[in-house]
Amino acid sequence: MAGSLYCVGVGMTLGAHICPLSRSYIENADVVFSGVSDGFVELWLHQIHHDVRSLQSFYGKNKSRHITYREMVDTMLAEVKQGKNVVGAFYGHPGVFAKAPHDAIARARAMGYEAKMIPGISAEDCLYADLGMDPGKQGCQHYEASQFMLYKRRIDPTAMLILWQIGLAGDLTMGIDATGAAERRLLLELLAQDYPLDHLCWLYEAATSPLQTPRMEQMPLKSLVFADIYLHTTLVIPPLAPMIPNPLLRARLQQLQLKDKHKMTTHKNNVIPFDTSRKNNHDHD
Amino acid sequence: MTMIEVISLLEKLATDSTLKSHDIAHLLSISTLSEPVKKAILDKDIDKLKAFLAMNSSTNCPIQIPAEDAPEDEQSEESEAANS
Repeated sequence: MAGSLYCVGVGMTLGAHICPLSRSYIENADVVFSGVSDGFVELWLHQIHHDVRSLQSFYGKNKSRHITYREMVDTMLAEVKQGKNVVGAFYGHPGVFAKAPHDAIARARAMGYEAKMIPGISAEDCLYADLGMDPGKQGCQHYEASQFMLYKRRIDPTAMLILWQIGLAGDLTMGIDATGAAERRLLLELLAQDYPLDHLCWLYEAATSPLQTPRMEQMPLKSLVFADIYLHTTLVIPPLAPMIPNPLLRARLQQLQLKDKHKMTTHKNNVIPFDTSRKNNHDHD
Repeated sequence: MTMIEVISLLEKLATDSTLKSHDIAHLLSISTLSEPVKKAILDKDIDKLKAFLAMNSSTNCPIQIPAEDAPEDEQSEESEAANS
């Protein structure tokens, strides 16, 4: 069936983070829809393709983002249904904390069209590089800030905690305006169950242009209430304490591996047996 | 023309790892950009740069994920699950 949809990531910093495959999809598309960080990135996309249509116009005051995202999806799919090769170019990674690209791909596939997502360098990737933090060191938990408030979670303060969309923390309207001090005070109340209020956290914003430096502002948790927080700000809470060892499981693993080691050494030889018949038959050909 | 030159310059700054900060001044010196635009780039003043280029000064609204699915999303997921 003619018509396809590719949702590609253009990364966070203008021009610097896009992969060759995503760029190629953009260059060869019939039409490109853009959901990017700012006007500079939109103009940069216009230099790659002559027909770039911004999805920004779907946002509106007092309009639920549920409606906005559905309209974005409908708009992209309308072009796919006309047999066009459509690209949705989204900042960062199109599939990380982004509803519209996932929905668009799922619906296009359900209708029988070819649809695929191409990853991009996300804010999360930039965060690890800029803040010098490795999610593998002590583990890492990621939550959407409002969801973190609305649903009960079991927080592990010995791992890093990252709250995304902190600017919308506690928002029940699904609008586009940032929430304020009152909602953040409630978030702080929740965090205070696991962290002391003087625990140092980071407010992070990736650089979207080479003229910018990323925002990496360290402050005690209690300062969050009146901090400058925008829709693209992320809250990073480093581990509060070292990991707690599990000696029981360590002992069981040691026992298990000692047994396996013994098994290996008592085996006739230590080579893992494999079937050579196929190779031998081939040799006789 | 100015806009194209600015975007090309930003792309060069973003993608050329050999460029040092003093190279920005060199690149600007050989550009045809007006002095106020050059100064805004040198000062890394994005807002002023947007103003000179007559761009919308606001940052785009980020594409995000809702904290909860819309009720109709949940219904369609349920019906999909029932159909499968």
